[in-house]
Amino acid sequence: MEDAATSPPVGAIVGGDPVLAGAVREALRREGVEVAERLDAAEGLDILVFIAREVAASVSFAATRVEDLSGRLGGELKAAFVALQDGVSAMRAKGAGGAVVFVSPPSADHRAFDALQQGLRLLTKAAALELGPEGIRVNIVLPGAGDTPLGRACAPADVAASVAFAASPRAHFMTGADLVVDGGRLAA
Amino acid sequence: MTGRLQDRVVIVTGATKGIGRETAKQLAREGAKVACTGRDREGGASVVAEIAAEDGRAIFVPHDVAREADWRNVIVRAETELGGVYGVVNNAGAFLVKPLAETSEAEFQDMFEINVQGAFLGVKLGFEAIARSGAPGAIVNVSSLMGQVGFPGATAYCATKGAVTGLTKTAAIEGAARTPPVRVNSLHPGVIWTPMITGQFGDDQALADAFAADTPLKIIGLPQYMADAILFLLGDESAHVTGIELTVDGGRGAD
Repeated sequence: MEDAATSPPVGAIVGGDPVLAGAVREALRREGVEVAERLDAAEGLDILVFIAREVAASVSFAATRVEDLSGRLGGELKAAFVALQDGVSAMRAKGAGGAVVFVSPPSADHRAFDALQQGLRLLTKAAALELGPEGIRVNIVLPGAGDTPLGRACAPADVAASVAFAASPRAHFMTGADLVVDGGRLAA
Repeated sequence: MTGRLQDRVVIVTGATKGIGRETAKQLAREGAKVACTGRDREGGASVVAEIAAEDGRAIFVPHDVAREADWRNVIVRAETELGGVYGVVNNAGAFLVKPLAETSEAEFQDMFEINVQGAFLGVKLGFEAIARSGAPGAIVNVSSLMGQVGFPGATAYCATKGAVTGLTKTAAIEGAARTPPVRVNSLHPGVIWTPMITGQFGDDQALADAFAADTPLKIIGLPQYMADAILFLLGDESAHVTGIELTVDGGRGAD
């Protein structure tokens, strides 16, 4: 994909609600990416987007059930890990490097589940270090939630535009990076 | 074809070489009208000529970024010759590799004036110019990976680039509250093969290879990659992105 080969780059989107996944699909298509219906190692792959699900409503640590923590949070991290392994296998089959983009759930007031976001962040960095020599880039998009200094909430199109950038050859030297899309919330 | 910054006026400081030069050319390819600034008049004339040769639009304005009078002149010329200002790229920077104990007060002061005072004036006067344009705007401050992590032998540089990181976050919050709003983000390049690096370490292929080997992606950073990231931070794709630190370093900082 990075060499602008004659055939269009192939991307797969794993996870995500239909609205966000749809926005990402549209943004990738605008970049000339052919978006596959499913991740199929035999077809080869250039771009993998994994969109983590929100795992809980706002809850305190005290009210968080251990079963939910291991089942839902652990399950989502595992899903990210499995998607990464499958995606990388498919990229290796094609042998042209690739780009992985994780999309974290919005940072909000899910105190006990912030661990998912940070787990995905560190998975991103570790994978970036390991896969860099193969030309496979790994980055994470971190959407915000709720009110922002810019005065509006983060829209699916905002997240999708950052995903499309991170997946594109325009981010050729970017790996292991956080791409925050939160209208200035974290800066405040 | 309509570019990502079609007809928008952007000021790029330090546009005579390195990242700034490549950024000015890339923005012009995306339809921007670029005010290229710097101290090197010859370099300024040649980048404007190269942009014109690609049918782009640009002017050169001599500029010492630490001087407010120079900034005011840059903005007047951009507004009168190109139109209302949309964006500023505070790219001009000084680099110094010297152990803390050997760095003089004067050397520290020089670094501070160019790297911090220059960006401060660019944001402050950029805010005013963007307000006069009547439309939202965007500012990109070029910090460094060395504005996020320490690097032995570069105290003054790291301190000034760290200051740019903090300046950016506060400016982003103030910029978001302005009418019309201004987004402000910082870019944190890793090792990029430019005159800034070769001027300190020498222009030597073995060294470039060593930097590449020390980078997870195993390639040397090129100004073009930074131009692409700056274009992203300036354009509408990042409409909801402000106050962020975007690290583009081949994975060096992920370790």
